[in-house]
Amino acid sequence: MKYKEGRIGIQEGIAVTATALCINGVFSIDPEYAYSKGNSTYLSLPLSALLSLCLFLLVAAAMKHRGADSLEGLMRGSLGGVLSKVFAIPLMLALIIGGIVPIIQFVELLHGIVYSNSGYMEILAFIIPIIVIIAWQGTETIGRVAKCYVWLMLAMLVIVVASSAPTYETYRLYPILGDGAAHFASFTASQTFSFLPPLTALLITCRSMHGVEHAQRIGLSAGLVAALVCGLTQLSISFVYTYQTLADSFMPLYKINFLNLAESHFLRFDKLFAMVWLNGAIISSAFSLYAASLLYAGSFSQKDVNPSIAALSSITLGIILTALNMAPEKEKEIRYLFTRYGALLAAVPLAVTAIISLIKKKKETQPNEISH
Amino acid sequence: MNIKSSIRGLFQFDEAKAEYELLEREQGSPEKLGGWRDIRAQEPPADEAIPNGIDAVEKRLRELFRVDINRDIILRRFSIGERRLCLLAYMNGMAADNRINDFILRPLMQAKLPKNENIDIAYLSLNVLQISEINIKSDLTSVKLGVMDGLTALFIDGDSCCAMLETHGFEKRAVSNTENEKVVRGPKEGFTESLRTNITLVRRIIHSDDLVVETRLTGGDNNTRLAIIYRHGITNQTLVDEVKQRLAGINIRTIISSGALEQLIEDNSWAPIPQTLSTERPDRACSHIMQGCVGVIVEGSPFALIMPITFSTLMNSPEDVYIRRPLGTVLRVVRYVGALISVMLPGFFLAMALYHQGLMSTEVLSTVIASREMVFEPIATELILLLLVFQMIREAGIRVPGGIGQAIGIIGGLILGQAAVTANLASSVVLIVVALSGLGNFCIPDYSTQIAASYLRLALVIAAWMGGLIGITAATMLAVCCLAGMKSFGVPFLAPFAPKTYTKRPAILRGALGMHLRGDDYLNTYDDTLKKEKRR
Repeated sequence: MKYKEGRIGIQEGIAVTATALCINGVFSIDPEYAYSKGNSTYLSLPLSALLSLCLFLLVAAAMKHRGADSLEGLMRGSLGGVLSKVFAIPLMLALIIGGIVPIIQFVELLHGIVYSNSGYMEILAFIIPIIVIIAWQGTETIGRVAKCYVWLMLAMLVIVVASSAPTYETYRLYPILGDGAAHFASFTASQTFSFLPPLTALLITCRSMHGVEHAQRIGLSAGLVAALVCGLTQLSISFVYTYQTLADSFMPLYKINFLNLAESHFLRFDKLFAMVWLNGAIISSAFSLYAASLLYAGSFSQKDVNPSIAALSSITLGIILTALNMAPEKEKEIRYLFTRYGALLAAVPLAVTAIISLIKKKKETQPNEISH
Repeated sequence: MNIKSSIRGLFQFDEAKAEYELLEREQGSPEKLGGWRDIRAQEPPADEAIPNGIDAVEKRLRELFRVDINRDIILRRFSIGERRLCLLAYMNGMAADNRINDFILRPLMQAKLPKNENIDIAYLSLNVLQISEINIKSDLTSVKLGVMDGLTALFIDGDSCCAMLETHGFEKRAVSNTENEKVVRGPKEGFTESLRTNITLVRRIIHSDDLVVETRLTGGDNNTRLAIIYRHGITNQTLVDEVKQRLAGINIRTIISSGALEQLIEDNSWAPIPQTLSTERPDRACSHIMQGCVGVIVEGSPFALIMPITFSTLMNSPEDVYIRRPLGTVLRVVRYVGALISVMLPGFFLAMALYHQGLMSTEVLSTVIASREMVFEPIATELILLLLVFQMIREAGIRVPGGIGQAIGIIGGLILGQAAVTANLASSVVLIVVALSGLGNFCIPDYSTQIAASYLRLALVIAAWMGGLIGITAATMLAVCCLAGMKSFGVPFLAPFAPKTYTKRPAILRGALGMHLRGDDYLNTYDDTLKKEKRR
């Protein structure tokens, strides 16, 4: 088997998972949905992260219960060959979509603000090959690259959040819970779509993390870090802008640079910040792409993960280009669909697999999972 | 050919002058797209027993060494105590004549041999020969290799064995100062081209009884001698085995230098960054061997190869531990900053100048514009041209002899730069950027890494030219991806940072000397702490 799984340590595992979770959590918000009638993202995003974490822990518990060494092994062991393949498809889709949403956001940002004379394809020409190359190298490289960049990204985030502190106003937090508890709950549930793909990727790459036990620790740590980072970032944004302003703004974290750092030296570095966070989006996307390819290779009994990576890279590029060149009304419709119900793509297969695995009686002679 | 005959040759239709042509040995038609058609591989020579009788031995040696056309080999017949016929075989210039005369020929020819004793090689080694190192051999292959290496072979009539006597005596360079890895405090002596001397230099520093020096032959036809140096019982045995296996797998006509050997045994010879440390300093080599690394020294090369290494190994200088901790820390930080400036500055400057002028303040931007007012070429080509010129000056400075090299540096750096600015071929700001970048490049202690950083710098400039900051982001990420995926003899190249391995010694800041009690975690040594009694 040529699955390029390798082995990475806890720090690399946390770095790659937390990077993907934070980037997805901070940069994948649909402002229209999130800030339509109030701003409670500083509460709902951490809650979404915790909700996703609960599902992750449930699946991890099921894996331990069944003795599976990866998500694919658990699905095959508890659902059988055919059903595991059926369940793998929405999971792969969730992984790919989860990986490309931040990339689309960044490409739109770069096209709109930094490279206004360049087309999407020109910008993507610098991003997509890097994602594919990193994914091609396997878990070890993805984890180590994430470890190299995680501190830089965190430092940039802290600089932006801290430097905008003088403009904080508490009145901007009102109305608390926005449009009421129902909207808050639905937004919280739907935002799990941002957090579930990285955690699913972690479950798929369990073997690389030295087993389920370690993956569980990594997921728990990364999930808590992401909840904290996303919560604090959203709180900072909420202190700076009212929900009316935020509903019309694109990537508020980037916008802070213009409005609040006008007098500071950091104003000129806004593009640098964007580039550093873009690194995070690339890592997140590469992790998702590799995990989706690994899931495909495992589920459909492929002996080599490279063809899957090549195929899914092409699909990813196709989806990104389609999304970027879509008519605004159509794009709005699809975004609406994914922001509201996208979470089901990952949540349903994971929850069903976990529940069936926990309910199903463990066989005396557990069939050996595929060892790679 | 004179002029007259040349002119005549033009007008005469006589037979063309025969021309030498090196003809193919292979049979059949060539492949459509070229490529190799292997001829039959040469079988390794089988061990050949020493013939019986001096005449047979001499005849076979004459054939083996092609004595009729090869005058270097000396075959000397004599008799021991006027009783037994003997033959000495040695290579002129490789073996020391005075040692052969004084300690082999004279004692043997003047020996008073007992009448009842059986005179054979063993007896002579015990009683007559006054040479410290004697090995008894019974096959001609070993004899041949030994003689080519500077040993002297002694045959006795009727004996099927021969004595290989240690008579190395070729000319060699004396131990001198290091050329490339200079330090202010610390030992000055460097390795030489002699393997024996280099091993001695290592043994003079490492007094540990577990130090093992395994010598073996490698390099295909040439049989180059090399030494594998490690600490038995400390260094991970799988690492030692891996090194030996890679050395055994070398299939090449000849290895002249450690540079070639390095490429043949490293994990990824396409990577611009070396995966073994090449050092000419015995103290640096010993420091790594003591930690649990494996060292390889090749005969004829004044460099030792150390493996495995990580990125921080290439960025560290032996001087870091010879000076006080705060100073060592400052030096290392300066070195990393210099390397970062060297790699990033030109590309970053170009990205700002071409795409993101908003990143520069008004003052800086107006200075750049003013300095480029009269320069005719685009800023990107100007930058690439100056980087190329800088590399040329550097290359010229290295290749020409010492004093002239320095002069070239000064002429190239000062006069040429000033002239280029005056002639509007280059702007002063770009010149400063290139000079700063070049200066930063010299902060990198390892020569191969310096070159790799130069290539990366050029790649970043091209990426910045193509896409500005996003180009730099992509190129940097690609470089980090390459480094993260690289391994040196099974050790991830970015260890101990990524992957995080247990270490008390920080990679960039210099730790306290007490932290060196433990070996690096990624080396997985068997005994990674000093013995308690030693620590006290």
